[in-house]
This record gives sequence, C-alpha cells and structure tokens, in this order.
Amino acid sequence: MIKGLPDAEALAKRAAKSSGGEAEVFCELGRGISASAESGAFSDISEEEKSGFGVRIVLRGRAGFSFGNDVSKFDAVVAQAVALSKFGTILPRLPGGAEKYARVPGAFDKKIDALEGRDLLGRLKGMVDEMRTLRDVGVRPTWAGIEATTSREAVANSLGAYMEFSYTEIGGGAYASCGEGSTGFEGKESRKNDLDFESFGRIAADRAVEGRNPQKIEGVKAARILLEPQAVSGLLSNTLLPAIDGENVLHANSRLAGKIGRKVFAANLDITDDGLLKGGLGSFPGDSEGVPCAKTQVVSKGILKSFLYDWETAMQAKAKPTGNGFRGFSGRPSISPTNIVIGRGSAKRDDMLSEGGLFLVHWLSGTHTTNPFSGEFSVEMKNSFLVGKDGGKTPVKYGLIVGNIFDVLADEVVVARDCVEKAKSFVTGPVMLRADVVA
Amino acid sequence: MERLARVCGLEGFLQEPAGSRAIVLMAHGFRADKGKEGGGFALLARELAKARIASFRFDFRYTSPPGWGDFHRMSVLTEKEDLSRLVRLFRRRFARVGVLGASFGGMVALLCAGRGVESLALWYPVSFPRETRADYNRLGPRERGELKEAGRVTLTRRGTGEKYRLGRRFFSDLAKVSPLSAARGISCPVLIMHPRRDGLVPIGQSERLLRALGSQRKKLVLTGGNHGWKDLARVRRDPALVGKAVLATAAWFKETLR
Repeated sequence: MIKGLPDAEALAKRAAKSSGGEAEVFCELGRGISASAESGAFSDISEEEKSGFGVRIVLRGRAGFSFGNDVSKFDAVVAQAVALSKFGTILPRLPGGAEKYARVPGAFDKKIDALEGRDLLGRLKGMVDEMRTLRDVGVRPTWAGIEATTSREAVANSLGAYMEFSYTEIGGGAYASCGEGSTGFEGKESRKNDLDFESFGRIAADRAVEGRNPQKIEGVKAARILLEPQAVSGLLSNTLLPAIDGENVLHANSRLAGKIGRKVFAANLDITDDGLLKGGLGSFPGDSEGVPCAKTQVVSKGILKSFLYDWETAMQAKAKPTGNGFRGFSGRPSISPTNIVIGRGSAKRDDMLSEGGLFLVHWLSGTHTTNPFSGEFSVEMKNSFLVGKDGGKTPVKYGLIVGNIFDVLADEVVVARDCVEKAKSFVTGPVMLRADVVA
Repeated sequence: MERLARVCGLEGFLQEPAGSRAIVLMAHGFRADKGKEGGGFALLARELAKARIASFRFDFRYTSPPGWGDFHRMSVLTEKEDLSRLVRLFRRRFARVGVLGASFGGMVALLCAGRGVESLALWYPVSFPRETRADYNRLGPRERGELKEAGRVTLTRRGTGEKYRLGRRFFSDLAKVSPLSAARGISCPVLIMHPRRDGLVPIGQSERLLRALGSQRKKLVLTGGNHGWKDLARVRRDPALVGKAVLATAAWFKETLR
C-alpha cells in the first residue's frame, strides 16, 4: 500500500457492505510545484497539495458518485453516493476481478518528488540567463516556467480489482522574443528529472533570432506544411482526439462515428494509443477504474480500427473498454488518451526540408478555437518559415492554416521517422500535410 | 450591481448578481478598510460577479468612520465575532460561502473558517501574531507604561508616521488566539498568496501554515512584490501584482465554490 494513501481495498469492501451494491474507491494524493518568470523577472512560485477519495456505488443498475477528503467521514460520502445512484447513469456493473497489470518502470523519480518550490528558481534563472545571452541581438525573455508534480493513486473495487501507482512529472518551457513579431518557444516534459532547462532558453532564443525580419506572404492553396511535434500536438489535440473519444462517438458527436473498418485517413498513417509505452508521459499499468492499460490500434494504414473507451461508455456502447478512464478523486472517470503514437513514418525530416517549397511551423496559436465535431480549424502559424526550393528559410510574419482535419489527414500525409518527440499526449515526429495557408 | 449595505451592523459593498448561489466575504487587514488591499477587493468583486458569485466587502467594527475614533476597541476577537456573524447570516441565504482574508484579516479568516466556510483564500496572512510588531512583548517600556496607566497606547506606523491607538484588549486577545491550531481544524480548500519578499509578514509564516493544514486541497503561491501588493520598497501599489492576485483568487473561488 502506498504511504499516505488510505487503504482503498478495505474502504471498497466497507462501502459495498454498507450500500448493499458494488463499490469502487479511488484514492489520490497529489502535489504540484511551479515557478514562473515574466519579462525575465521572477513572477511566482506555487506549491499545491490535494488528497481525497471518490466513491462510486452501483446499485440496481445505476451508478452514484460522491467524494471527500476526510476518511473519518467516509460513511457519509458512501451514503451520499447511494442516494445519488437513484438518479445516476445506467451502469450494469463495475470492472470485475483481480486483473494482472503490466509494470511501468521509470514512472516515479524520487528527485522530482523531493523538489521544493525554491529548488525550481535556479533552473528558472538558467532558462532566463540563456535567453539573455543573445541580448545584444535584441532577444528578450518573455516568459519561462517550470512545473513538477507527484501523484500517488490507488483504485479498488468490491469485485476484487486493485491497482496502485505513483508517478512524477516535470516540465517547462521558455518564450523569447526578438524584434517585431518574432517569437521563439521550446518546452518539454518528462517523468524523470532529466530535462536540460537551460537548453530550452537557448533554443527559444535561437528560434526568436531565426525569425527576425519576418516577411508578409501570399496565401497558398493546398500548401505543403511541415508541422514540428509541438504543432502536431496542438492541432490534433483539439481535432483528432475528440473524434476518437468513445463518448463523442456514442452520442454521434464525431465525424468518425459508424466508420469502423473503413478507410478514413491516408494509407500511410497509423495512430495508436499506447498506455504501456516505455518512458511515455501517459503510461500507466491500468486506468483509474482498474482496467489494465493496453496498446489500442486506433487507425491502421488509414483504416479506422477502434475508439477509446472508459468502462462506463464501453458498457453503454457495448464495446471493449480500452483502459482510458482517468480522473481525479473529485470527479467521475472520463475518457482520456494515454500516449498517442503517430506512426508509419518513412521519410526523414531533413529530406523533406531539402525538397523545399513548404512551410515549416514550430507551433500553433489558437488551436482551442477549432471545431472538434466538424474538424474545421483555422490556426495561426507561430515561429514559422517559408522554405524555398534552394533550402533558404524566410521567416513568415503572419499566416493562418485553414482546413478540415478529416480531409487533411485523408489527403497526402507524411510522418517523419526521425526527430520523434513526446509532446503532451502525443509521441510523433514532424508531420507533413497539405492545407490552405491564408495570409 | 453593487450597493452599499449594512449587514450585522457592518457597512460594506454587497454585490449580488442574479442567480448567485455562492458568496465571498472579504476581510481587510490591520488599519485598512474595505476599499484598501490595493483596490484588489473591488476588482475581485467584479471578477466574481462575472461568474455569478456574490461578494461582500466590509469594514470591521471600529476600523472606519464613524467608529474610527474607537479604533483602540478593536481586537482580533471583535473581528472574529464580526466575521463569524456574517458567515452564519450568509449561510442562510447562499449555498456556499467563501472567505478572503488579507494580512490581519487573514488571521481572522483562519479563526472563522472551521465551520460554515467552503473555501478560503488568504493574502499575506498573519498566522503567527506573536512574531509581528503588534505583539505586547515588542512594546517599549514607555508604551507598556502608557498602556497600564491609560488602558491604551499610541503607536506610530513606520513609514507613514500615522498615529493610532490600541487598547489593552487588543494585546490580551492577541495572546489568546492560535491561528495555527485553528488551521488544523479547517477542512475546506485553502489558497495562500504571499509576496516572496514581504517585509511585514515573512513568507516563512505562510510556509509553516501550509504544513499545518490538513489533507484538504491547499495551495501556496509566492509572488513578487511586497506586503499589500506593493513594490519592493513598499512605496507604491503594483497594479500588475494586484491584477495577478485578483485573477488567481477569482479562479480559485470559481473552482472551489462551484
């Protein structure tokens, strides 16, 4: 049992006994620290702790949920969950039986767990100082931030499922600006304390310098665009992920609903949700409902194979749960991807660049404005360049990429097999696609 | 729409957007009033109103005209009584009650938050009063003599030279309370925002307070600037700091008073 967490197994049995139904208890102990600097000056340090438990009771085919953070009031929380089950969602049963969970090594780093808010200041300063080394050419540090979290979780149910897991994460990013309209960003996350924060400042500054004297461009129809991993993550998080979410599919809020087994994307595109990926930021032995995490092939050679499900949605959709039900203690599980691996890369990034005649985009702004249901997007290219046939790069002053993700991914898509990065939920190399660029 | 209201004998501005089910009570600091704290209370009231959260920013008894001349009658326990009455009253009208306490008002909020409060936010709170200048042991022999003889003592505020009087009750009540013990009995989520270079209430107080709190959600944000969201020299309010504090506090209440 994890130190500091209540005994979820005993609590689940107690809740089942007092409620007369099936019971599930999810316990969480979380800690997060962060520090940021604005315009090169210290802005704030934040330290946050949270702990609590959530109880789900299944009684007469319906689920009731409640939560609390004081174990001495556990019985009252159970009583509330029982009362709410009368109005709860239909759920025939909880995930059953003791499952075998895969090991996920390297998810917890003691060094991250031991960090305090003030420990981040040195790293923050390192990022800012690196950006300042290019002060002479006009680079200014705009923002820099670091965040570290530790989570300890346990889930148990009265049918015998029990899983506990601890993991850490550290991440940071730096924004630099140079002259008018040129910005550079670099950021990464890891579960190990192995990030070189100074390099983020250095890369952000270099990118800002590279983007100096940006030029106005002409709009291009069906332009070739090479998105770096951060940009791929930004675009697909708000377009592709909602479309493969089993709940959206169930309620016909996805354009991919009813298309299992059909070719939906380009033949050289594979999309996998890999919950057991070694070193992945979203790797877990099981999800927050105790369903073992697995490798789910979502798209294979452009053919739609599966959606992502938590337990409840899978029951409703009569589908197989994929181990994608995640939550905090104060909420019910909802569908969340683990590590989305974009695969079947053939070309190398540099080869694609050397061909020229394309836009190179490091990151995108305004990705939250995309329409997750229709797939339409209109996002601003940031830190972007027009790469000529001769390989020369011209910084772009302003440009929007406009299109529909389902059409774009069904058209010509090339995934680089090198330069693979972990960018939030995605593990991908740079991706070349075709979309309209509006000046 | 904000209106001047008198609730439980305390004057303040009540902002009550239509359909609001939660309210935030704002407790000001020592020698401050409902309009101070860098103007942050008024800005916060506006931010909260956008999320349909009501607010009441008020003056404690004896801390503003016409009771200003009676300032020596105030103490931590008179303020605790004021805030407790407001919490009890507003609990009857609102489903959820949050409290924001600034500096000395932060200590008062800590003492009241054990019951009936769903969310607590503290700006540079005094949590170890005996480590502040207002402690009796820090009075000089002249001031102790004056207090013994007249029952009140005239003190001068550093920096501004402003004179004010404190009564015997202020010191005796301050010795009776233990915000740290009160903190151990609080179960609602707590946000603490404290300038890292606070020259009046050291950040160490908030760091110790954070560790004394229980297993509820708790967050400590160390910001730039100085006490009262002033610049490092404690001369001018820093609007950027006030703005940041207001936005972070509004986000906290929106999240915890849902």
